[in-house]
Amino acid sequence: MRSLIKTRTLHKWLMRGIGIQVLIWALTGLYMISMDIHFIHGETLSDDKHNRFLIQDADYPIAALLDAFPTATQVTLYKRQNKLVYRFKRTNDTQWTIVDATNGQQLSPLTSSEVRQIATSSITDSANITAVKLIDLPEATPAELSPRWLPVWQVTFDDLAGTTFYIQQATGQIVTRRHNVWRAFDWMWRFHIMDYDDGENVANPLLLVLAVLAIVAIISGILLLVCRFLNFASPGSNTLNALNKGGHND
Amino acid sequence: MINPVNITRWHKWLSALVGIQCLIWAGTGLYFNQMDTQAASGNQYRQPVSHRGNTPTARFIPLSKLPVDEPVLSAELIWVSGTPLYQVKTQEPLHQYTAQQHKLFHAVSGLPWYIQPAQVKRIAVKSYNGPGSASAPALTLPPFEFDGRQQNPLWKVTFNDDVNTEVYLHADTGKVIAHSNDHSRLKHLMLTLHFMDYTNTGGFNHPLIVVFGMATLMLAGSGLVLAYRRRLSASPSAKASVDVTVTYNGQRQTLTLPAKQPLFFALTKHNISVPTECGGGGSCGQCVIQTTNDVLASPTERALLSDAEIASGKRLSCQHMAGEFSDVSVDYGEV
Repeated sequence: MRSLIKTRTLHKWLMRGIGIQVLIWALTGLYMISMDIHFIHGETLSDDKHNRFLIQDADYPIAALLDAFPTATQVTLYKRQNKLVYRFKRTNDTQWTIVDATNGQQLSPLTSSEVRQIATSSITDSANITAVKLIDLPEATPAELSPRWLPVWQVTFDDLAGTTFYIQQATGQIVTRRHNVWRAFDWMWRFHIMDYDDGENVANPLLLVLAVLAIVAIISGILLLVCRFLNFASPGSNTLNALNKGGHND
Repeated sequence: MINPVNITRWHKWLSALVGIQCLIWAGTGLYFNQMDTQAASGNQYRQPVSHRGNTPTARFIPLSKLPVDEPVLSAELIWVSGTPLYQVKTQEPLHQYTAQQHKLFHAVSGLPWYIQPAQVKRIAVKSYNGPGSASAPALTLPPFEFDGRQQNPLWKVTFNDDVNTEVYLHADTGKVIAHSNDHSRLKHLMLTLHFMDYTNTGGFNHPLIVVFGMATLMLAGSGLVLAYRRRLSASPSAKASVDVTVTYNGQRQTLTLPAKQPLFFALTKHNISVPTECGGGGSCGQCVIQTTNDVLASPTERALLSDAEIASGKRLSCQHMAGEFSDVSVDYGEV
């Protein structure tokens, strides 16, 4: 009986200590598993159907392009804001170079009004643009965007979901889509892994301590449950007591 | 107000359902916290592959000459093991594991191009810097054990090294999709357990875990109510300790007990074995004592004891503070 009581006391006091976090794990976990991950990623927010083109329209040949830019890699033909273009990177160049695929002329990065058109024609639900802002410094990058895409136009819509498109300034491609369901998911993740500043470090000591305590608390709970159910078969007997006293319990 | 007996009962049955899974969640969570991210990536023997060849680019035919009639989303010049190719995509999925729709043409001849197993093996070997030697490539259909989300057929090349490396390459392009080894397989097992992904969907959006998640939320909620319940109840006595006459197995003794401790635990401290199955949790109804004191029966007692028992002075010792009593008797072994 003593060990049963000790187990219960341990379970109770551990859970009084970490019970709130256990509830947070359950809440945040339930949110994350209930939301379709592709919806969270914003894959339904935009579509690219209008970017289809006929390959026969690419009048400027790749051979000519490689003659003009011999170090070009990752050469790709696609449609940027109603215009057929090649994008490629040159040696030691982190930025994309854009060339008109009909005449080989180099094109400049997109302006805010061009980006507005891309955003409006890409969004699946109708919404109005409230702000268009150029982000070109890593330190000015919002947490919801990876700096590797810079420079990027941030296009904010007025819909309830708080939809935001991040459109690369050179390529005109929507590199990141964010909405409030994602932002909530991001906070759920931070509270789930107990890393509250950026949610990037699962290997944090706070989580280690809480996880170890949780394991002890859960094992003690399972022991209590086992005792409860073993006793169920024979009311009045007392399993742990019986174990302690070598089966003598009358 | 919900009857505390019901909360206790819910807590018990919910934990019977999800208790083991909660232990798995905490245990695998601890694994993710402690795991060696580098090793778990499976990329111990992986290195980048250079595909670029030296075919003169002046010989590349224009993309407009390709026999593609339907509208497309992109056309890219790629190199596969030294061969220049045009990869024409009619869909641009956001993930490499989504089913791909594309066509490959030789950039010089413009003819449709198909990869050969010997090329696949060469790429796999180039991507690998470990001590093992490569098996013959096997074209394998999904589902894949290393990633349940993968919808495309892949080549699989096995290396006989100390960590059993497997290299997976794209069926058409021979692009290295993943290296998998014993370390990454352990991580995958832990993810499977954490996500309850026993059908290998590769994700956590499935009904089983949602049901378990809801049950766990209720379990945690009921547990919190139970954990803080007694703290919130008003203490009956202002005194720190109280003298109680206890009759135990026919012997009378007067004990000084802490007034604000549940009688059950106070008696146990003095080696008085009150019967119990739950250890003072207010759920088994076994810790009966007999008293002459006028003590109000709690909802738990009204649920677990009969009216006649309550009227005759029987109470559950876990439901009252020691300070409520001056005279109790415990009959161990007789309920």
